[in-house]
Amino acid sequence: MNVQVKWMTDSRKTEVIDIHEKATVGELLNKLNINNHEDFLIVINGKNRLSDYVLHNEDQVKIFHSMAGG
Amino acid sequence: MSRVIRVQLETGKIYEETVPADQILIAGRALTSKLVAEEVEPTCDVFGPSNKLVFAAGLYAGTTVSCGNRISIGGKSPLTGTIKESNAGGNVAHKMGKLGIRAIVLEGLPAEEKLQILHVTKDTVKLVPADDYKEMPVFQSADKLRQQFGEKIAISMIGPTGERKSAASGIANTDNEGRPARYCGRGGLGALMGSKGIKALVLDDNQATGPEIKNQEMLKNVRSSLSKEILQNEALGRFTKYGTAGMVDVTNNLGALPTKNFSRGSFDLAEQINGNKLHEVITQRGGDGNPSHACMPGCVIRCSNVFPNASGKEVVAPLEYETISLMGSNCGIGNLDIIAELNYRCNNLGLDTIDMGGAIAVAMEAGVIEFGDGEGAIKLMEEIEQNTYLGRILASGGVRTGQVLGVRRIPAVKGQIMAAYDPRAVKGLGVTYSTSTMGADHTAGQTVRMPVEHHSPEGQVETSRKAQITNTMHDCIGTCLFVNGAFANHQEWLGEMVTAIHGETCTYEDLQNISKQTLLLEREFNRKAGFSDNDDRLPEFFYTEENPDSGTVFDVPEDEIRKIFDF
Repeated sequence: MNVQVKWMTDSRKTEVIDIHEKATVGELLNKLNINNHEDFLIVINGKNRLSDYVLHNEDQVKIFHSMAGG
Repeated sequence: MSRVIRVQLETGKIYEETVPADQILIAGRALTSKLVAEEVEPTCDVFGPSNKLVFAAGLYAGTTVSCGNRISIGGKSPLTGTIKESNAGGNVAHKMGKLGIRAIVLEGLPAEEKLQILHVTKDTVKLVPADDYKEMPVFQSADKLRQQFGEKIAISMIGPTGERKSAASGIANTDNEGRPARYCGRGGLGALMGSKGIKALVLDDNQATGPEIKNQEMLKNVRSSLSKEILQNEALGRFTKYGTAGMVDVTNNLGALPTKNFSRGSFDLAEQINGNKLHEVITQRGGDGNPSHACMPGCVIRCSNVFPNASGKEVVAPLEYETISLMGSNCGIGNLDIIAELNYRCNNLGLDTIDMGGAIAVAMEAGVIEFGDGEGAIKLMEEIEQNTYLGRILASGGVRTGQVLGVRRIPAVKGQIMAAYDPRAVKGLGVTYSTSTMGADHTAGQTVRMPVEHHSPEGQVETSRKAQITNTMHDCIGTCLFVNGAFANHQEWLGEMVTAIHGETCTYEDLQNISKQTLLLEREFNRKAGFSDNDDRLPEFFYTEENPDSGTVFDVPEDEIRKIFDF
């Protein structure tokens, strides 16, 4: 299946990632070479999801650095 | 670092105590709250003689441990009526540490109405007449104080609104370059300082040699490891580049960015005020601008910034996420130059930008001006500068402004306007806003970086509980919350640095226990002041009015919330 990944980091690039059925967010992050999952906040179709969330075909995935206000 | 200076304002008498050996780990918020809880009558008149204002340095004060020199200021809050601690960066706590001072306590009321400065040097502590500073704005006062007391002083001071006892007034602290712009903004503590007739604390650490480090080698090793960990942390690197404004994109995408008085959670002009735009504007304009600036001695995260105008001249430093949201999106204003101007005017008057953003937004909801009217918002600030009746109402904060103007939707808990996270979309913060001993306050228990699905009601109480304990722990140490990520795999460093500095064995568990005891002490003070579980609620509209951008209401079960302090 395919998911669309938009990086909300420096690059702001968008890419389509081919990944196996029932892949989790954690597996997607590993495929994207993101090791420290806790340093990122993942928003899928407008809701943040954790590493064990199971992806669906054509999900819109946004990847943010984990931040806080001040 | 064990001096406690007490100033009896009624008599002008100043005396010193020494922190008892068995209390050496009680610092920062732990100390402000302990002194307030033990010495202030919970039901007292906030502007009466019983209330006290406590300035306390943290456990790393006076060293160059990164992010370790925050100043805590506490008292019974004129804004909320609860116990209050508000903390900030800057150089005040660092100089207190150099001078060996753990705390300064302002007690009683002056016998006659007058303005004074408390001047502290290595050898002297004096009250100095300051009537020539009356109604003087913050930046002009800071310049005059440096002319009077020397260039290298640290200052903790109020502006005209603090002198007027306006309830949204904060206390400004100088940064590394002497800007009086690091605010203990929340809870109206500036008004409490104004009621004491104290315009400023002035600290001169010339020839001061403190703090005496008990184990230099141990401190050097842990401090060095911490700095390396911070510099290698990718997420903290984003703070360095974009500052806290990097948060705008996150909350905007979660539907959590307060917009037009919390009526929406996404702002159509978010890209005009986000971290990327802020970085772009600062770097393109150059001049005085600086996208990465340290707010206190030794900080290597450097998430602060200096925002310049189109000519490159400094407007305000820093321009932070909470201000960008409360005075920007929450007012429908998508222009960084206008937000920076509003921020500067708040800083110069001595006002909390969060409560003022809330006040302007409820004034917009009441039709005083339209949402998005940036020039109108600046005119409202001019009302405060001119001390008109409307200005006095606005400077009393968002809740009082909303009540006077007949606004039903006032986003506040216990009298304090919420920070820049809609609690329907970051529900852990909704729990924190509801239950914090300080009123609606994001730093009381920040959950947005924690591993939980923010739109779901599941797990939010436990998440908020952990955040409140951790954040309170940092407030008690005097460390910035942002450094917490660098301790994720090295929690023992927090205690080891305390051990190295003070020679008293301290573990992470000890620090957690101090935090928990502080929270329970604060809660007990509030209970005695008349607050109950029934006050631990958000305004009704957050339970009934769906946030259209997150598609959620606040629905964390109340019976779960009531167990949050069961530890």
